[in-house]
Amino acid sequence: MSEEELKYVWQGPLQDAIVEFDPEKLSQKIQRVEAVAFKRLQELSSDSDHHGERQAIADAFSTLRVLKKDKLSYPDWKG
Amino acid sequence: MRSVKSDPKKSVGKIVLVVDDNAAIRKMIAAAFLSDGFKTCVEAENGREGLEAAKRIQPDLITLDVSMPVMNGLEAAPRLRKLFPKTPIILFTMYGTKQLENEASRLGVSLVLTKDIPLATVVEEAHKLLAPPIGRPILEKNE
Repeated sequence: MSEEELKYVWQGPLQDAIVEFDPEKLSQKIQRVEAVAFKRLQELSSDSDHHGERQAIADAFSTLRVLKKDKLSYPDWKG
Repeated sequence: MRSVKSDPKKSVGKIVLVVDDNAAIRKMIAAAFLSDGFKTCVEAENGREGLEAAKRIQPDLITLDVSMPVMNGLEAAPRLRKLFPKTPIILFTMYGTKQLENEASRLGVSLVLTKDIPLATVVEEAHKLLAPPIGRPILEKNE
């Protein structure tokens, strides 16, 4: 995804995290994505629109879950 | 791990333990609790650290993230429940599936809230969980 295709503020940090292989840097980058996405979710919480971005954030967190499990050995869970 | 204090408004003297591996998110959650009456907010960055903090501070309420290193929220919840049978535990997560809700309930979590809910609502839910049942005497916690 090129810079021009990034629709949401948290997508840049997400792309940075996805291509990071150093575990320490990856951990920092994941934290950055989560913080930006969480702040954005809070901004959107009083707005009934933006369904597309909400779904995109949910998908992003699914990606982060896999990164954390596979590359940072976070304990996973069912569900 | 750090502790911050503020002037109480509603939940006078109440202590909340916030367990989340993301420092920035922890601080936003803590600020929401402290700005709405909670006296003290203690932070921990994973389930194991949360258990240690809980034993030390005897929290009135606990918020738990699910995805954390070392010990995740679903691993920590039953241990916390065993230690504190009556303390409300809120699972505050990005992963609010029905399966997760059912599993969390089985493990002793009082309430599952997703992170797209306004923090003010999370704090309101916390106040409700801490409010004594109408018509019943106020009991000491975990007795």
